[in-house]
Amino acid sequence: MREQSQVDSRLGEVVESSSTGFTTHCYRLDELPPLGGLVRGGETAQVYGIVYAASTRSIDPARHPIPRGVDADTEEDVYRDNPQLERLLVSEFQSVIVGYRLDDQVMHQLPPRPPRIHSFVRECDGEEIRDFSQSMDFAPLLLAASTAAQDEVLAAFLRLARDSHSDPDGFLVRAGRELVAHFPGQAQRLGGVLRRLAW
Amino acid sequence: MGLDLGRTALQIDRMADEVSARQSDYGERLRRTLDTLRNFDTYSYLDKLGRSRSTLAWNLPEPMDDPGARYSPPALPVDYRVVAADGSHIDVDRHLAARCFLINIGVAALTYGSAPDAGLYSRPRLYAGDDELAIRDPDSGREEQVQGAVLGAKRAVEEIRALVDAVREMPPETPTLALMDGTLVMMGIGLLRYGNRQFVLKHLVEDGFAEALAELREMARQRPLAVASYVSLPNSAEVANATRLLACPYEVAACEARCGGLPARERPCDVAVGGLRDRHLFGEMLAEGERSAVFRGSYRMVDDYYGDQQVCFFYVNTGEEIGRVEAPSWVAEDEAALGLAHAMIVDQCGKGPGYPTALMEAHEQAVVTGPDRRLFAELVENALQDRGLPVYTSEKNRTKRLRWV
Repeated sequence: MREQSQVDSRLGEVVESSSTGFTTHCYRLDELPPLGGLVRGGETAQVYGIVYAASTRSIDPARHPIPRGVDADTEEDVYRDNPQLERLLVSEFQSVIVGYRLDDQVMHQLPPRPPRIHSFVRECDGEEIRDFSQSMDFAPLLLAASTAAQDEVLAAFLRLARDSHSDPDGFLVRAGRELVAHFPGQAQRLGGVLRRLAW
Repeated sequence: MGLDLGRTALQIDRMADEVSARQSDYGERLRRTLDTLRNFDTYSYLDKLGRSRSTLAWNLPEPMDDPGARYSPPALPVDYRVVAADGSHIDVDRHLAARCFLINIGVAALTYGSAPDAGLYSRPRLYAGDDELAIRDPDSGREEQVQGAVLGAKRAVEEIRALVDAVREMPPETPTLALMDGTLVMMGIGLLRYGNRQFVLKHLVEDGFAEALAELREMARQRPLAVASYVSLPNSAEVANATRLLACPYEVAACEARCGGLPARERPCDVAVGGLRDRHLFGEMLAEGERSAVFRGSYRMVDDYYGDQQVCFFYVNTGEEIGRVEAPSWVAEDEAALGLAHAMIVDQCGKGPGYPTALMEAHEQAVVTGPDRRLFAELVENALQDRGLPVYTSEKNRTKRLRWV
């Protein structure tokens, strides 16, 4: 028997997959993990990804959403009065692969194979994030992601990781020192990332 | 080369000029017809209709209440559901490698209120068996191929059957509208009546459509269920034609005998009310959300093949257009069911916007696009090839695909 919590924590399934990243189609509209969130795809071969982009759009590219709420009091009313929207819109997010699990060990490297299409994708809890962020060796993989907002994504991940550690300040100091090596000659850029963690 | 739009546009211009000339006394005819409708003498009308029935050139309806009446929609129930079915098909194509046709039925079940929910799905079915490709007369052994208009009718039967199945699967407590697109009268195969093809009509209409409608009636006895169909931009003129009977100067309207020799638009009833559609009349009469009186239609197809069910209709101002709603007599005569249909259709058109959401979503589920059709043909060819069967498509079809110079 599968544990109920395992089923409940599923966000969706992999619908596009490559060696360096995967796209997840969410089961429920707008139930997206946060930017910079750590997700895990697959059951036996588990792959870690950091969310760097998300979108909600019409399933059918030829059908565009139209405004429906001119007479509605709240946004929720729009969805309540148009129950079909839950079936016609889709939320998807893209993750860059930042590691995988080999037996009980977290590897900050690309996995031998990308996750399978239809792999279940779950959002990692605080304990998993803490485990994963013991070192910053995954940073080169994240910084190779094809997004213009790499620094934003890294900062967002570090914020989530900071909150999962019992000594948040100690974690940030350690992470900052490690990241210096991954930003050669880019002290100003790294400074920018760390300043985003001020709150 | 595509269509020569330059030459076409000139002809469209000329057509528009002619339409405009015909419309010159439109306002006067409309005003006169509305007057007649607002002061409709139902007694005289039914009396003359009774006397003229065998000599009338028009199918005239019977008003079930004052034809000039207008009704606001009743309040919607807290929880309610609309289930709609629509279909599309790929017809038999002699250029295709195998003889077959496909019917794709789309269903949308939308639940509103305290537990909103939506079910959208489509069910394609391929028909390729000998007994599926033709309708056989059990008495004479004659056959009618299922294609063209007959396939269109077969599709309508599958649509209403899908609706029956979908409604049956729904929890029975929630007030439900089972909604179809277009008319409830199976007109498309009406011409078969004249070709000794009654067995086709019996198979498709009596044992098919009308029987499914009767199944819905059975369900409606057990649960709050209304059944209706919605016609957008209706072209019908039954109510307008009813006013012709009152404008007719003769004691008995013997159209052929009295006016058969007159050119169209010069008969007395044409001069009074000709050229008007029902939607023109009710566009002037009904405020947003209101419906007209209910009329019982007069259709040979229904009299002959629908058993004890009649098809009734009313018009409704949805806010965007005058729509026509058809309902079986057992809905039209039941005030609660009629109100449910009226209120839900107005609500659906508001949500649409402009056209019932459930019908639109059922259509979206059912639609078979151009690329789908090409892929279907390829799948058929590939499946035959995989089994080492000869695949022959016509040279014409091949030329269309390759489009060489």
